[in-house]
Amino acid sequence: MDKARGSDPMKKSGSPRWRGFLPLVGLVLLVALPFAAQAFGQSALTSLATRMLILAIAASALNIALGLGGLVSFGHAAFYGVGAYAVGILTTHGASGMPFLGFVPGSEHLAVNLLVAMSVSGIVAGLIGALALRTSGVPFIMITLAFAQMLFFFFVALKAYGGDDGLSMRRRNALPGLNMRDDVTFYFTSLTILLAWLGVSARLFHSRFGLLLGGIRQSERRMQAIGVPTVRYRWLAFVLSGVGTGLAGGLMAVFGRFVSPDMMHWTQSGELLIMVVLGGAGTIFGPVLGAFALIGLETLLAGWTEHWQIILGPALVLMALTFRGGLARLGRSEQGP
Amino acid sequence: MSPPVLQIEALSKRFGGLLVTDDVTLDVGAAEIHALIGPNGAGKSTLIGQVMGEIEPDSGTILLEGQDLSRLSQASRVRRGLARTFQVPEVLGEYGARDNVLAALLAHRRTRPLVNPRHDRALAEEADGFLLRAGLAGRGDVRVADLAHGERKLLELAVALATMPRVLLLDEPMAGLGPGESAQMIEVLRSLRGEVAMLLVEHDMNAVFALADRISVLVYGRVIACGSAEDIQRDPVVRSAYLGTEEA
Ligand SMILES: Nc1ncnc2c1ncn2[C@@H]1O[C@H](COP(=O)(O)OP(=O)(O)OP(=O)(O)O)[C@@H](O)[C@H]1O
Ligand SMILES: [Mg+2]
Repeated sequence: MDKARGSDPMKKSGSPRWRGFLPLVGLVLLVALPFAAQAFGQSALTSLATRMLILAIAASALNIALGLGGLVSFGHAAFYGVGAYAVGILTTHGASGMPFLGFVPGSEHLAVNLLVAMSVSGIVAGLIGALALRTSGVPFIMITLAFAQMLFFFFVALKAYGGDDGLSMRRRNALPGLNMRDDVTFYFTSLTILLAWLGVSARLFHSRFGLLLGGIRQSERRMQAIGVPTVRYRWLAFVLSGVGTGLAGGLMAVFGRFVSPDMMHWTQSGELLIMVVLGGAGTIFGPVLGAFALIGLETLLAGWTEHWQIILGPALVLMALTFRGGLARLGRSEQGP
Repeated sequence: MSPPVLQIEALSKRFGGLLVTDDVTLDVGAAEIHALIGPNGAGKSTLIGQVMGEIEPDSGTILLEGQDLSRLSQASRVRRGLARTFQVPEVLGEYGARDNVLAALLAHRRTRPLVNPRHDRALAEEADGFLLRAGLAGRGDVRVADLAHGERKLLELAVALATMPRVLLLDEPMAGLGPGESAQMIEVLRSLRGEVAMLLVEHDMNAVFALADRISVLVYGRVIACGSAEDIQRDPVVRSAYLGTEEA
């Protein structure tokens, strides 16, 4: 492999050819999964996989801030929760026919509600980012955490929409022509949204913006010296990341027909961080692998013993040490970033 | 002499009780190489930081081609033609050398949004051109973390050139280079003479005498002398304050 290095200036070395087929294999498995689950009478597996797909969107969105931008946000559950509440509140008003705040009509349309979830999360991320990005390092971690906790307590106190009991929806949001009540249909809807998001994400990683943002992660001083307004770039990355996380939150709200402040709890932010790091920060598919691995592991351990959380911690540490650089970098000859 | 491209006028900066820049007035002519020498801690790097807009001066003005830069961000100063290199290389370690240059090329350029700039052959060739000028031909694919120190110094130069500067602020380009590498750096800088004006901060007196049109001496934040190489070598104040220690 090594002697091929540098022969073509356009080709990046370091990966055996078979790795290129892995995403395709993964896609085939994901398409086959609900049918296999039905055939073996394990329909619950489809629901579990749907949760994984949705959290994969959230992890992949966090990866734009964390993996590409180097922004260790400990507050992404805020955007996840805000997206979910946007959908929950719109759906409640859509079902009752009473406009939100007296003038915003409700909606039970999936596409409309997800777009609203993305917009609202993006705005919230824009506001939080504008303040938090004045800092970096540990203060940044603390400030993002603090904002998320503030929102958590705000929704706990918001009795009109369930307070800490959360908000249940009578039925799932609809898409014309599709029966969203069917779990397999919902699974494929989620898979499609994940693939679309990954497409956007890959474009972003390999764009001018992605190249410069990756540079800012490595040396902000260098990038400023070549004339990049680094704060603006990091802010935009944070907002895009919030938009994707809000999309995942909204989709999860529709899937479970339920929203609660727990979606904004700091442990949710922590889980998203673990997914990204476990799967491989800065890679396209890493966060997806991380989401599947973490949720899968949690489910396995929970079925095995009620003290599963005691085992999960050490298991994660072990995995982090074994797969340095994340699952997505397994079999790659170069370690990094 | 043609009018100066860069004028620093009555610049002052304090860090707490320490006066790092003490009423500095200095200019760089178009196509001139103006060396700035001075002992460690004299305030040379801090001066470059203020010209770039990374550090805010307490008072004084900085003009580029007659235009006041005071209110401009670092990004707009770069767009107007300022570039710097760092004393300790400040490069993107995970990227290859070519991508480091590519970043500088892309910083002020629009690209088609859906095209991967790393797959743009014209852009890659342009980047390779700057690597070639800096003496790094064929090193474009090497991860910067794997480059030798001297190569990183050259890369600093290639990256700065890729922003198409009118004035290059060089912060000790020879620092840490071996004799052969220093000779190469001097050659590269010499080849740029006339194309871009330079403020050359340097301890290596061989390089300074080989390159500089004029030399200014900075001691404790203050310019104590400015003139040709002979003027500076003869100046008794300079000899006692600075050169004297080297000749002893
Ligand atoms: N951010 C800062 N805060 C306080 N003091 C500083 C700061 N930056 C630099 N200094 C001090 O200012 C003085 C000038 O530093 P500067 O780096 O500009 O010197 P220099 O001439 O570049 O020295 P060298 O030849 O060692 O690179 C030093 O005494 C340094 O300790
Ligand atoms: Mg210095």
